[in-house]
Amino acid sequence: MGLDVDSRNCPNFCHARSPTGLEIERSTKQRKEPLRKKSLSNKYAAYYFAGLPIILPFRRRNYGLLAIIVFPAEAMFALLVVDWFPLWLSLRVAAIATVCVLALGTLLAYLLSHKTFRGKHLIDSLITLPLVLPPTVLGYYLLVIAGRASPFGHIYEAIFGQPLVFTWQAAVVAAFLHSAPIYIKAATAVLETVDYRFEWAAQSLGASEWRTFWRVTLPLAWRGLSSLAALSFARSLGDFGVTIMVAGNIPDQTQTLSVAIYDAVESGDGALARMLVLVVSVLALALLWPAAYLSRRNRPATNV
Amino acid sequence: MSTDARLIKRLPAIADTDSFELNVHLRAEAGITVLFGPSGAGKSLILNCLGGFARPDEGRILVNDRLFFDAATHVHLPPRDRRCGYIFQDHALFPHMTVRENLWFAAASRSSVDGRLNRHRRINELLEAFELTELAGRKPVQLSGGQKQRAALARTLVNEPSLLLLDEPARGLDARLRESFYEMLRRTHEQVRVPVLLVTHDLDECFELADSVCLIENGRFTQSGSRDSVFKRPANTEIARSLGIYNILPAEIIALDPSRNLSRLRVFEFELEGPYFPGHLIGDSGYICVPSSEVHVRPDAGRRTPNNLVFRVIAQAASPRGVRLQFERGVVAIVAESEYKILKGNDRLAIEFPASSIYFVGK
Repeated sequence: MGLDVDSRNCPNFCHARSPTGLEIERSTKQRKEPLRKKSLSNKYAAYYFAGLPIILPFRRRNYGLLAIIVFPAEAMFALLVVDWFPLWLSLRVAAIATVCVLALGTLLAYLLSHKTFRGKHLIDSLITLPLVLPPTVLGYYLLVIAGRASPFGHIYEAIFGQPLVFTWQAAVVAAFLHSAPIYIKAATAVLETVDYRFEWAAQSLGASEWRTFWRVTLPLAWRGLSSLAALSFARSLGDFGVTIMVAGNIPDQTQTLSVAIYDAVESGDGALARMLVLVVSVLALALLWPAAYLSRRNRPATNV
Repeated sequence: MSTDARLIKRLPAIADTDSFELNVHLRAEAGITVLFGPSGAGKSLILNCLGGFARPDEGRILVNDRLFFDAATHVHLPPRDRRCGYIFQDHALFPHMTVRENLWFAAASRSSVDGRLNRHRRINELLEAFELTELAGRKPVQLSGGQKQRAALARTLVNEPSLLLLDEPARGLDARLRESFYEMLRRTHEQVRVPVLLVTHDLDECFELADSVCLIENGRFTQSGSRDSVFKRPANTEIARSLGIYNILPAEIIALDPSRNLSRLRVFEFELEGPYFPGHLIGDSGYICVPSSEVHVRPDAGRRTPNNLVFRVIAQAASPRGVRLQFERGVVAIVAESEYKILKGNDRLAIEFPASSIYFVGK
């Protein structure tokens, strides 16, 4: 709190304010929540105080091309002062969701690519459904199915001692729904490209289907599947619609990266929003670039 | 050591393929049985049914008195319990494993070879027998075509299969590799005494390897039996035509003499002498089948010589086995390059059909 007061005394503080003036509202809101530890404007103020107002003259103007220099510079500052909780939460949520997608999705993809059974096309369509439905619809379904009043919600609460909705675990479910359909679709295609002759040869040599899968099918498909794993991790980072419906926007609890960006933009915290957008973009690119290398020679060696 | 399979499998029409019905009764003894027929005749489907990768709609499969499949009692052994060595066209060596690992995979997949030591011993024996010891650490991509074949064969033999299934194993190989593969297959067959079922659409391969042959056309066996009985005595002109090695000419029997093993036939305006044809009567009309490679061609001397037919040449083409001469009325003769030099320039040539190679097929 003290810092806030200090920053008011600082003649430079007005420069740190965003053009819309929403920053002021934010800081007044924060004053009502004394438990909120980190506030961006606080920290900026601290840094300006600390004698680093080098970029300040630029902030008043239309940056033009200088933005190329100014934004990264600002980002460097922000790296030190931003509340990173949403990033860690997103990474954790995405990691758990990806593990679930890999386990469940690979199983489903194997069944879809290798088996014929009744209702296969129905399951196929159900898997595609989350891709085409609006996130709000999915979120609504989840709230109905897993809400505290629902049977599933009761069971969950009985087992884990807390409700699923509006916890970060709900964000995992949302991220799972966001990335599973694409993973399953693509993994089915990848597993289909594994030459059936290798699998037949393995089985005629006496290997069980399980052994054939682990020792033959999976090693032959791992390039494609691992690039898909990177893709689904990147995609899990990015869910917004379902997350905000089932996990909400509770700072320091369920606020994932994409929700934090929304929040920052809504509250006019342009610097934070830019920072987080940059982080998400770089992270996604860093994931997809190697994945592209993996999927480049995705085609399994059919001609030995 | 015998295979007895009665198979009925119906494939419904999908998209642009017509519906198909396989209906065969395959009986194979210990030797090499070749399923010979054009693409799409159902040869590979038979192998898949035997190997357990396709489930017949009706029928029964018995291999060495083991029941693999029985529609009536719903027996359907999964592929891993059938102990069939399946060799694919491109060998299907696992590309991510070395040769030794490929063999080890086979040994470790079946409990028939117990214990790590025994497995290693068995693998080493096979690597030795197939001259693969030095190559054991290589991945399949680092092997030549012939080495891959040896590795694939060795891998199937690790578990002492009760039946070897080969699906066009020599397709896409050059002549030298083919020869060595045939040689290796025959030698393996001698040593291991395992029944072999081989699918091919290559006539040379069929001729070279087969102890017995099943000709298959559109999902049905048209003729089966020992190699000679099938190739020397095709059951009808359709089969003779599909083999593609015969001259087929309409003929009528005008005389039969069982005591001297002789017959006389009228072919077009010519008269031919042939062996006695049991089961046929004087006056029967049908076709004579004479292999294109067994006729002799010489310049037309003008006078009538027995068993010589004079035809006009309409086309000639070089082939690896000699010059292929195409005559009027669909007669084909294959002559050596040196012979062809003498014949060149003559419009009409006399073709001798040796009496012993004439085979008569009723209508």
